[in-house]
Amino acid sequence: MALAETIREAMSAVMDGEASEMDLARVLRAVDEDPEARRYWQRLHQSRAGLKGGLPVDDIDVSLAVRTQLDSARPRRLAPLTSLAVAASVTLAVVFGGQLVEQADVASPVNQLPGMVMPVRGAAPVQASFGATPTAPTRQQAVSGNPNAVAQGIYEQLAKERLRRYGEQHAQETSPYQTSVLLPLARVPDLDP
Amino acid sequence: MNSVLRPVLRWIPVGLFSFSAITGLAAPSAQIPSSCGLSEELAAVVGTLVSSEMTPGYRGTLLLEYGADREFIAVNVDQTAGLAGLQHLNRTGAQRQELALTSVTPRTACDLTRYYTFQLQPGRIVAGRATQRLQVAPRDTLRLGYMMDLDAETGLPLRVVTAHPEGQVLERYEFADIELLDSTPMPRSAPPANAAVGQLGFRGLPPGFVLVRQGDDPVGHAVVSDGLSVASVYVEPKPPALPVGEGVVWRGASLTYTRGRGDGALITVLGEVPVSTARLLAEAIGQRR
Repeated sequence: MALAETIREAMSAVMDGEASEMDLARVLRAVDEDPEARRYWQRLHQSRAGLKGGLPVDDIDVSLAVRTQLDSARPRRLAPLTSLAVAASVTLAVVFGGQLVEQADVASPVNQLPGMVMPVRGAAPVQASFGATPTAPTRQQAVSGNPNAVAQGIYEQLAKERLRRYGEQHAQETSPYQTSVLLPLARVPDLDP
Repeated sequence: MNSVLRPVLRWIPVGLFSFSAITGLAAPSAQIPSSCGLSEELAAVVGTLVSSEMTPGYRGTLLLEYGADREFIAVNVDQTAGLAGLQHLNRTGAQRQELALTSVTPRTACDLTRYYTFQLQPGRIVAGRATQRLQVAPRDTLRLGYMMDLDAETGLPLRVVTAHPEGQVLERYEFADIELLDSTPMPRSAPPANAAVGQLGFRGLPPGFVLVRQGDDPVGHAVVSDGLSVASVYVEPKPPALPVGEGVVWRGASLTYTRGRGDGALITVLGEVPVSTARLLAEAIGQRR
């Protein structure tokens, strides 16, 4: 059965952050009760560029990765120059965004917390690429100077910073509900890589 | 390090794992079915999995791998002391990190069958121990899937592959070596906060998820779980100059999704859930009225 237009519109509104309480209630009820609604909700996410994580199965070559580690004493590969350039571009966007936030809202409780949007020191590639690899559209958008892309760059950096800030607490508080109690703690990145 | 890597090399061929193995329809088990359709054996295995108190203490070394990143980690779970700790072996100057083991009433295996299918089959040897392979496939796209090699004697997950419902492998971990500790679990304390206390509330939750705890330090936050998938949701004020928007970063199977809403809230969802679930949580959380 075709999905009702009201549900589609409600899902789009939730995706865009413009949902009313009624929209949200419709979406939650639909994904609970209607398999077609769940599929449509997932398709909406698939169509959103830049929000997918991980790597396709075929792209993960464990044997190559382990061989590389065995063959080299270096803990990390040197990043390609292209990655450095992209990292620098994202860094610029983030620093710009961070300054924008701090200038406009110095007294905000958010800014009183440690970290916030960290001005990235130099153009260290690790700041732009820790964790999952940023997706190609995001990188290109960040380079383009598009305001939406700048906002996305800021939010990606915010997400990274929030992982550092809240990751350990998440690990502590959710350990009773995890099948492997230590894994969330193991994933928390270095505080000062 | 080579002695640590050697067991890892043995499991490389299993890198051929395909997500279809997880998402394949669960075959009916030959054992006696429980009221929810699970065999008694499967219900017992899943029950042990979701009740961490039923597993023994242990120490060992595990390899955690996601994308191009891989880490060797020394772990120690002391059930007698109620403490778990780890140390990253390939991080310079890494400190040992610890967390307290606390107790909760887990969802039962039957609770989980509405949202996941389970399939049990013989596993292979991991860290020198026999295993059973448990495939956990989500029935919808709001949670992750898992392929777990569980210790045949204790039910401890010795090797786990976590995949996104779209089919991407997010993370693998495997014990390179493990030593079970002869310890007696002590009664554990419950988490210090509970779901009934707090200023936050949800206007609704994704199917299967329930609010399990709340806290106000350092900012208001809530934890939700469906029994296998868990997420923490943090609420802060959004600086006025920050435009609305969203960003996401994956760290293995852990997602961090930050969203600036039009109502001035800055929401961060941190957990082992897909983006589609994080969006629903970020949209649904608010101040309790």
